[in-house]
Amino acid sequence: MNNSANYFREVIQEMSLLFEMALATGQSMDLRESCDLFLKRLMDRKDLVYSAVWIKDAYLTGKANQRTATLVYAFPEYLAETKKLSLDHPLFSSISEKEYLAVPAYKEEFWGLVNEKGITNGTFVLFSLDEIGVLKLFSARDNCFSNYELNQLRKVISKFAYSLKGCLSYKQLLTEIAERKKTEEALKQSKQQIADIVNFLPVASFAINLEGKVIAWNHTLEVMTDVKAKDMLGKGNYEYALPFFKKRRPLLIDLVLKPELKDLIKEDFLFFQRFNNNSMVAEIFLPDLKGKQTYLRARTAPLFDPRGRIIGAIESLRDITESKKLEKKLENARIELEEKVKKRTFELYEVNKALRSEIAERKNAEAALAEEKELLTVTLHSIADGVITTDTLGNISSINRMGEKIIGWKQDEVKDKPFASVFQILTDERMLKICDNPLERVLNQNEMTDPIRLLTKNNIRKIISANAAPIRDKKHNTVGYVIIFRDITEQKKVEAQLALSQKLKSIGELAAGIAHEINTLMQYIGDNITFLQRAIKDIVYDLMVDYKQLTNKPEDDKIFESLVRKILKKEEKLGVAYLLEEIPKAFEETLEGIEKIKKIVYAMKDFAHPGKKEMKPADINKAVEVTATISRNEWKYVAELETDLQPGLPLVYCVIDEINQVLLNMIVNAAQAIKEAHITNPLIKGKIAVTTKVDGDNVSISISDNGIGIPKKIMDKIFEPFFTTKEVGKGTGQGLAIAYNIIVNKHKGTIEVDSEEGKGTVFTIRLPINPALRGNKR
Amino acid sequence: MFINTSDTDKLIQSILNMDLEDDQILFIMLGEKSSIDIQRLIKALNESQKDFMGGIFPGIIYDEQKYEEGAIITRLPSLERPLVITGLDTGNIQLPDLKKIIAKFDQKYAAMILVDGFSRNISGFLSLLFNNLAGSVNYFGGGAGSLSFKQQPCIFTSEGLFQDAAIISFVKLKCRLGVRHGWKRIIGPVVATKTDKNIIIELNWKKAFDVYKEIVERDSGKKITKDNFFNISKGYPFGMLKEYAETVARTPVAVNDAGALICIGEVPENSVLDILKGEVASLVNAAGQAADDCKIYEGKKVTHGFVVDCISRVLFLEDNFSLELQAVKTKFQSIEPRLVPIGMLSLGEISSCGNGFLDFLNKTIVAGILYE
Ligand SMILES: Nc1ncnc2c1ncn2[C@@H]1O[C@H](COP(=O)(O)OP(=O)(O)OP(=O)(O)O)[C@@H](O)[C@H]1O
Ligand SMILES: [Mg+2]
Repeated sequence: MNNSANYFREVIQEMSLLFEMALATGQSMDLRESCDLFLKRLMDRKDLVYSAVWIKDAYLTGKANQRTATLVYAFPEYLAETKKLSLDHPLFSSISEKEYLAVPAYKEEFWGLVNEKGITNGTFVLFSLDEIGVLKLFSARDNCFSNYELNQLRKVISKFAYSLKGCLSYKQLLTEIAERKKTEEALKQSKQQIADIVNFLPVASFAINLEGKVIAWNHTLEVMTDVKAKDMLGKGNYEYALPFFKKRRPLLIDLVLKPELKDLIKEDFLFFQRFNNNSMVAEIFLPDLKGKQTYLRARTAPLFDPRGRIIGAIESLRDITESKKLEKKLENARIELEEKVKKRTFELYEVNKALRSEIAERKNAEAALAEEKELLTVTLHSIADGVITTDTLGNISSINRMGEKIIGWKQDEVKDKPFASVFQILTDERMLKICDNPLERVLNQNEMTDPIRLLTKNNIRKIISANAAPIRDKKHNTVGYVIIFRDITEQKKVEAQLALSQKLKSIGELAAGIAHEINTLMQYIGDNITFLQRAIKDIVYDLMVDYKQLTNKPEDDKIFESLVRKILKKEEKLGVAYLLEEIPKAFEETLEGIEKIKKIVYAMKDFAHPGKKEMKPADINKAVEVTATISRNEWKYVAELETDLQPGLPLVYCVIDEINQVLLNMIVNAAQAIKEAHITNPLIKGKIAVTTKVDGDNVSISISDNGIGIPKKIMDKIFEPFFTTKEVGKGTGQGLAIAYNIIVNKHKGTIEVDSEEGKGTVFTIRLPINPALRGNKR
Repeated sequence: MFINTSDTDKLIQSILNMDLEDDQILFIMLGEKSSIDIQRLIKALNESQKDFMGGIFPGIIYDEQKYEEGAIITRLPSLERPLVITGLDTGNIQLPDLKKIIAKFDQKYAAMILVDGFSRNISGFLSLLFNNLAGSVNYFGGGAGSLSFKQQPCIFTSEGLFQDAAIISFVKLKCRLGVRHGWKRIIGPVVATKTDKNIIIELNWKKAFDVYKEIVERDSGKKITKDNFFNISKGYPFGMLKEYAETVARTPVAVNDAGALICIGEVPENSVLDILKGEVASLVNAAGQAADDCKIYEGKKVTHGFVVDCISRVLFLEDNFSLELQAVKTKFQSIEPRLVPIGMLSLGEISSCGNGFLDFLNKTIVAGILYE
């Protein structure tokens, strides 16, 4: 071949490289693929070991202040070690002013450029990719690119750089589109959420988007308008106005997005108000909503997406036709009334003119009084306390409804009757004594706290609290009295119950007595022990020494005798004979005391088991003993207590704590009755006897006393709750009522009373051995 | 070991008689005319718990002869059991995790690669492999398949017989390679202005066949038609320009109805091509040169002398092909006197010559010496 052919061939070859490379650029919008297509071709042609594209992060992310670059392409990736570099790295700084740069391994700078595996020898060639980054090539040869080659490649690579820029902006575009899609998706989602919420609203509601298209139309609104959501959703062009106005026109909701429309529709608003948060309320009248004249109250507000941007509006509609009608009626009535008043005023004016002033004055006063009275009655009837008014003499002028209910008398029955005949305050149950001036009593009562025992028309006892005050006229003259009272029976019952249960739990009021009891015994024991201690010391430590000498048998009789004498003398001095007699007694008494304490303690334990309320077979004899022991302090000063308990008494199926409680009350009652009797006759030797025995299917317990007895006339009342003859604080009148409840109601037993005034009382309790059996037998 | 038989049982028996060290696998090259029941072979080897890889080729090479029948079996010390990569018919090839193997690289070993020579995406696969391993191994291998140009399963391991797949074994031996073809440019450049992988649709913006036909007819003085196409085209491959190295050859094997040329191996669009011509002397010379390129320092223990020789060279050289093998043998034995060349006639060759990346070669002879 000749020279010119060779030359031609060479040029063609060079150009073919450019041709190939130029056509290899811009083949893809994908950055990596673009690099792949271009660089593999280049590597193939130039026998390169490695190629890499570094792009400044600012161009990848769009954030201009980033000072790093990312390896977006490397082939083979096997060699790439670093994926991120600072822009201060020599890879960028060494080429910042140049278009390209070849750095062979024998140059110092070469090693600053190495971030690849196993590179030992060869050449790095860097091309600046305009401002966006650097193309890094590596050849294992150290003479790979001559200057003219670099120059040649420079142009293709700048095309390559352009194509990469295209890829980057394409990528940016894609991200932006994706971002927008995401936003749109979020928007769609939030619209869906809004629709969901609207659908759940109990008020007729609908929502529109920015284009004025309906995005929600809830069920309540479907009912209100007879238009289904499916026919309305997605519709725009004021379609939603049709059900209301039969034509397309803006509604209140449109003012959220287009406030300027207000002028167009404000005529229709009966009422309109705009709030700070851009929500609005209006009232409109629709001549024909589903064939009816309707008033609607509409409330509208903007809808926001999660980022707080307005995406539409919501309107809620409430049918206020009924309340409007009412309002109308009221308005009409008011007008009518005003008319009447005008007329009346005029008439009055006319009359007044005709009358003399004094007459007119009197008339006015009367009218005023009547009015006041009227007012008073109304007031009185509506209050929750009993109210009685009397004149100055104490004759009843009125009683309100609650008052009637409490005392059992009707207004007609009591009108003009003396207050005392109606308001029966029990002062003494025993005597059935009634307070003769109850008015004074309640007037003096400055607080409503003290309970008053009231006997009603039907002889029912009620506990009330009461207060009274004089009624004065304008000139401060007393014109009558007002008595206000309240039924607190129930409240007292509850209080008593509470007290009782507390009593039961802690053996409450007995505690002091028991403590005293134990203390007495302890003192007694203490005395005995002190005596024993001294006696034993005298005998053992004094006499024993001498006796010991005697047992040693001294030879000398004289000594022996003097010793005996000394002993006898000592014995006399110490009162040995007495001691020997008393010591066993002291021991006995001590042991007895200890035994008693033991008994009390056990009794306490047995008397009340907190919380245990179950029916169980129980020993009644033991219950009697326990209760007697526990209550000893209540009776021991006034009486003796004898028990006669049938041995081998069958166990009774009962709640033993409750039986204990009944027995306790009976014993205490008995003791109290004896104490009463002592007031009149201190010489009576008090005696309480408790006996138990089997009585058919029952166990009977009788508690007898020789106290004051129960008068015949109150006999039928003693089991009533709160019936007591005892002073306040001593008795509550609950004891027998509870006993009745426990024995009769709960245990299906009976209580009998046998009493003679001044002689004594016997209570006999009969408990079925098994209440369930008794129930079956009957 | 060369076993000149078509009897499956005999083959299996001979293979089973071979002792294997723990880390060794069997490398099996079968001539396509040996009617071996591959499935039975696989089963038998699996039962004997031997690891293996192999392929069926248009021919196999033993000493200075090629055979269309028979088997060559050799033992290769291996880092791992052979890896199978499938899906070479698609653009979406998944490589297995190579980290474990890479961790075992204490020097530059040889990667023995067999591919189904008719897979559409061999270049993609090789590029991917190179991306992951770069110059950490010496790549060496070729395409299996049938000279009938009918694609069928043709490579195998204990996992089965595969089509559109590749098999890699990392051989614990050092390796020296020589790659040459010896085809000479007669005219160029022509530009492959429109291609689709291995199909050249346009040359110089004209129908590819028209351009090719004009050039080849002028040089050969023969009429070229669809029917006699390969008979003539086997002597006139394309060469893709590459600086510092021989062009990469691409053989057009057929013309389709649209007048496009179907090649073995990919031709990137806008590649600048030469049209090459074969001469017996230059080809034989190139073969000797390739073997000579494998020269290593004396004193190394040479274990294998491999030849991967393109079947198109056989078709072109015809009776002269034995000259090529003699040249290889002579050169090999100048390196190691007792070395007997073994290898296959391939549908495409694989070799990392130089530093550049891995290409699927054509019309080429790859010689490789494995040594400890
Ligand atoms: N053994 C009795 N002797 C005389 N009167 C008795 C006797 N037992 C009860 N009464 C009369 O029956 C009334 C009612 O007794 P009850 O036990 O219900 O109430 P109380 O003893 O007055 O008060 P409380 O038991 O709540 O402390 C007594 O106030 C008393 O007048
Ligand atoms: Mg009592």
